[in-house]
Amino acid sequence: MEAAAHSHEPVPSRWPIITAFGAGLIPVGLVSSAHGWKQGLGVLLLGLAITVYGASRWWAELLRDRFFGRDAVDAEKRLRTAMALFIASEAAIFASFFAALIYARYHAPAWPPAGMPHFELLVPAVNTFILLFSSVTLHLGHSALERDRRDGVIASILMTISLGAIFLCGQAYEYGFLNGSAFNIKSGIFGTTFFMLTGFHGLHVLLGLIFLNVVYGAVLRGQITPQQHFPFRAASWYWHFVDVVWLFVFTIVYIL
Amino acid sequence: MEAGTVVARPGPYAEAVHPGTTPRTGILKWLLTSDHKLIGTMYIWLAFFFFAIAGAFAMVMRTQLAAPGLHVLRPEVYNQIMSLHGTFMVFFFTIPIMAGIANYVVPIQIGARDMAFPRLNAVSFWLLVPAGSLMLASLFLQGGAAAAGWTSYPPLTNRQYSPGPGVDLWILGLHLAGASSILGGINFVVTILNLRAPGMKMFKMPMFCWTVLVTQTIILIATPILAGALTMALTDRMFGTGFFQAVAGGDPVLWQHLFWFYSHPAVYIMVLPGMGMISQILPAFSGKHLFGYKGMVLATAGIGFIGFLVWGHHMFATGIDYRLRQFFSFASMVIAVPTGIKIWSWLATIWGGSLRFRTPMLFALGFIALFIIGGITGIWLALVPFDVQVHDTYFVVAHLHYVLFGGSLMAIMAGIYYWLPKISGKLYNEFWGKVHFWLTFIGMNLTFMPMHMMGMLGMPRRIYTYRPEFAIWNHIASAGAAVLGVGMTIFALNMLLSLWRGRRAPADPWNHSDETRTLEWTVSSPPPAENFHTIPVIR
Ligand SMILES: [Cu+2]
Repeated sequence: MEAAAHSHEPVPSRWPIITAFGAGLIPVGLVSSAHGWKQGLGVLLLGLAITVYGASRWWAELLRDRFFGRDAVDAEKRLRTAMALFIASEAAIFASFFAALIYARYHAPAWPPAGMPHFELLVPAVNTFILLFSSVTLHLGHSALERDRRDGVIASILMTISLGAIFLCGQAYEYGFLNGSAFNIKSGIFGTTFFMLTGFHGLHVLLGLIFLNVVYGAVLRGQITPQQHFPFRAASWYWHFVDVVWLFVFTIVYIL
Repeated sequence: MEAGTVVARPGPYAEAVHPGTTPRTGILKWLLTSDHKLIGTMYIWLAFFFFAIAGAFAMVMRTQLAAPGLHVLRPEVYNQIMSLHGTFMVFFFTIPIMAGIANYVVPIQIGARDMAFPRLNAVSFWLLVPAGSLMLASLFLQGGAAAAGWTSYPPLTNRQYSPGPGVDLWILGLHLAGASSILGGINFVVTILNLRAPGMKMFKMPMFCWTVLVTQTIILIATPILAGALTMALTDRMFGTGFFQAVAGGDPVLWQHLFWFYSHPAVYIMVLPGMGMISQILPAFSGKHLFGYKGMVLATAGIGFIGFLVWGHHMFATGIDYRLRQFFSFASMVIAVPTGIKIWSWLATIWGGSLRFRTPMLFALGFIALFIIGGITGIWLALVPFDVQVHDTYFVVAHLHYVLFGGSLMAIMAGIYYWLPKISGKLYNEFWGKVHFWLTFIGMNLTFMPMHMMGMLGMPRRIYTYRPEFAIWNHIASAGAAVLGVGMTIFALNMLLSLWRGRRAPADPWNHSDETRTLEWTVSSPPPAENFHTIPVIR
């Protein structure tokens, strides 16, 4: 009876409070370095490190308790709903940046404004194909997982990670090219919206890559099985989401 | 199956107890907890801490404004205090305390053992601590805190007009609070959708759970837009982007669009859970069930939906297209329909009931009376010609305080008096509760009713002094503020005394009738750590 009563006690954890206070250090560092305090950057990096470390230990606790615990089947449904809601909120943040771009275009006398570059379509078009292809490779991995073929899963994740990395290289190449022609984030509202949208998207590609790497580690350790593979599913949803956002970026920023 | 029958249904967290994670005692019990009841309690404490600070700011402002030409505050300090008063009341009192009460009550009301993600719940709470501290700290830095009002319109917040770190900390503090809201929103929606006890169908949920579900959905859609706008403001200040900079081809009006796309729905984030509390308190003290339950649910969802289509009514004086003005004016007036459904349903609920005028009931009735006034002035303000006339005057201050003080705060007080015995396990002094109510009700009207007159006479808001002809109305408002201050002091003392040496509260201190007793009144006060020894089954 003692054990039964204990079994429903909430599990304490030190990682939420550590993660939250780490996140609280980031603005302190950012603001103080922006206002000329040299150590600010160090504080920012420290805050970032604490946040990442806290979140990763938290993830380890989740792997131990939740994903493979006795209530894992029940948890899967909750986790799926949560991931869908999280992606929806991310979509809303992107919506605000798209709104800024569309608002600026609507009110501008000419678009692109005088003196601003026209974008070459070659690199972004190739990038579009690369990203779409990476969604396909990841989907193949999901099918392989359901048929319990681990080699296929590993190959698929590695392929997807490589394609994502190539995408980021293409993006960096384009940024370098544009910066060479003195076009940057300070080049009026045109440069602002271009670099903020593509940069924010690129940041999400980077986060997706990190997520895929974490899942790759879990696959290698045998923590992802056909029955229990929420982390894989979540990373894959996230990746497809980033892909869809890119289609909007490509259409609205480059083509229209 | 009888309620209380053993049902094999796993709890929301690991079944196994791991070595080193057994419940702790002392301060660590609070710092490391993932129990929704402890987290909810901490939310309430932290929110009241910020309420005391923001309330003190209000008292200082009313002292400065008690007569024309006073010098209690320097003008630039007045601006900072005024900005932080609004920011703290909205983002660090009203929204968190609603989250705190919901955190405590919702899982028990739906028959769950905890929130869906207990650790995520803890991080949502803890993020508020650095967030609020950053804003408070900015008061003591060079250049002081943000001073552009809680709306922080550019170009006032541009680097050339606000060079100090205050605005940066304001932006980043709200970023952290926003992250807390979004994570909490995910948690609440999943909890309500997926953790209901067997038989607790959606349309059997108590009204409070419905309002929390709608509120948290609004948070999930609206808060990210604010986060985007805050990011733009920050990069404008720090990295030279041009979102809100006219010289760069950007537009300060874009901030207004994005800010109000969040901040109009934020009014419902602040008032809908209050309506949910009222919808439980009125039946509890009338001995009747809630009138028109399904209509109430639809009205709540309707208010949530239309709330996204009315942000432009804050921008009638900004020069937006006349067709947009017409649309926003019409849509704003439409909100009166679902709101009216609610008010009539509440009146029908108490009609013919055997009313017990306990403190929560008094605050609930006060809520209805004051919220109606705020709603009516809201419809006036939805009319473009009237709005342009009183734009940025004290009329707007009066309106918003009838909605947020008369609405949200009265409901919060009703909820605190209603659930406090459940949360603390202690009873409070009913007499001083009633004194608090009457001082609040009278003081509130004394403070804010004259502001309608000031506004219609043309007194601009957000300015540290005024011309002598507005003196009489300001004398009255400041006297009212003093009454409110006395009332809130009595409230604080009464609550602290109750926690210290209040009598033990039984499981159901209000003697609910069978049809109004929700699940939290079936467990002890305070409830056991796991809420229910066996998960209840609802028939
Ligand atoms: Cu509004």
